[in-house]
Amino acid sequence: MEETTLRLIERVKQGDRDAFAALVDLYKEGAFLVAFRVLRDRMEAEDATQEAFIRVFTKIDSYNAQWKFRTWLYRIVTNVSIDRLRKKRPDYSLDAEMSGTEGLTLYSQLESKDQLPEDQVIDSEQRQNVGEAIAGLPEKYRIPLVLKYIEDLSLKEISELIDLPVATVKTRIHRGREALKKHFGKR
Amino acid sequence: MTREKVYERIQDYLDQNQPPEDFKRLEAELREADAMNEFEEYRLLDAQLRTLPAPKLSADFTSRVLAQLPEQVEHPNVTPLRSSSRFGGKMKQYPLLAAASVFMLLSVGSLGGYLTQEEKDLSYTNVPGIVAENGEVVVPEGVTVDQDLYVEGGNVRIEGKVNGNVTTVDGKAYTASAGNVTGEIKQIDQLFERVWYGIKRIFE
Repeated sequence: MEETTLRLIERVKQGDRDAFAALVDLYKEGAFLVAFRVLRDRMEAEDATQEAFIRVFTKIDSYNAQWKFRTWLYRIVTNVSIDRLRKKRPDYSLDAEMSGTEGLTLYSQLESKDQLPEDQVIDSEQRQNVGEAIAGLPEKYRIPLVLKYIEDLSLKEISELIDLPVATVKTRIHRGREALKKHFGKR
Repeated sequence: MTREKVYERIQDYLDQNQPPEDFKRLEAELREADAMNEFEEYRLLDAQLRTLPAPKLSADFTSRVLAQLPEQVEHPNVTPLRSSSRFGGKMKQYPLLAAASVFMLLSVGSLGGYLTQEEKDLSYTNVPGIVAENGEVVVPEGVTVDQDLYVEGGNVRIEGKVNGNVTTVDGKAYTASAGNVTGEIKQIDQLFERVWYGIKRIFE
């Protein structure tokens, strides 16, 4: 994959748009997941991913083959997403898709007439609760923690993505996990 | 092993996918510390974090990105040798260096201007009775200046009396005898001092 990537990048540097499309196809899912984990909103995350890829295209000359392309791309995605997160005003609506879920709105949380099989309820409830609990974490713990669970990013890569020392990233991930565990321990 | 140490070990284990031998050792340690429950809780959390729901990207994502790409300014395919933009490329590659060199250029330029501008232009506090001749300011004998004297770009010779400070820039102050100047004599002839003096004057 790395070799294909490098060849594609060379062609993009020559202005080849087809090569760029191929590059986007290779990396879009991962990039989108990074944006989604940071922003917790599907549409916002798509916009951020789009913006990040356009940046990649315009700045491809500054890409240095010494870096892993994935790290370089995710770094751009993370920066764009965090910027958007800071600008975003929190607004709540019953129609809005809930963070960390797909197709679940607050309406579906109000009262559901048809009962799901019990095990399914437990499973989705639990996951949703992890999603909610993560949403409640302060940003500085939340972002390193969610990045950790994307494609098994290493601590070193995360430290490169968010410009923090590895030791700090590690501490924050640990604090984040500990907070989540405590949250569930209380129930 | 303290509780904190146990948590640390578990979390370190979760941070990287360690080989099974490490896991065996960790397990033994945890059993000894009676922390297997903690470990299970962490593992459950870890598994849930791994399976957080992730939405799908829109099917037309790639084409939407392509549609938004800026029109290309340069066409390297048409002109494969990009010699003209090489410098620009370097500037883009090292923006800090570029900024620093522009700054240096500007500051050196303005310094040069500053130096040449002051070249031997005699200026001094105009007090009745004093004389300027041959690039030198003279307070003649019998003349008393009742204020501070400031001379720039030349020497000053005091044969009379000055009741105040004497300041020279790029020049020397000669006195016929001690006590002719009641205040201080300051000679400023270095660039730094001149700048410093200028700054001090602003605040005085």
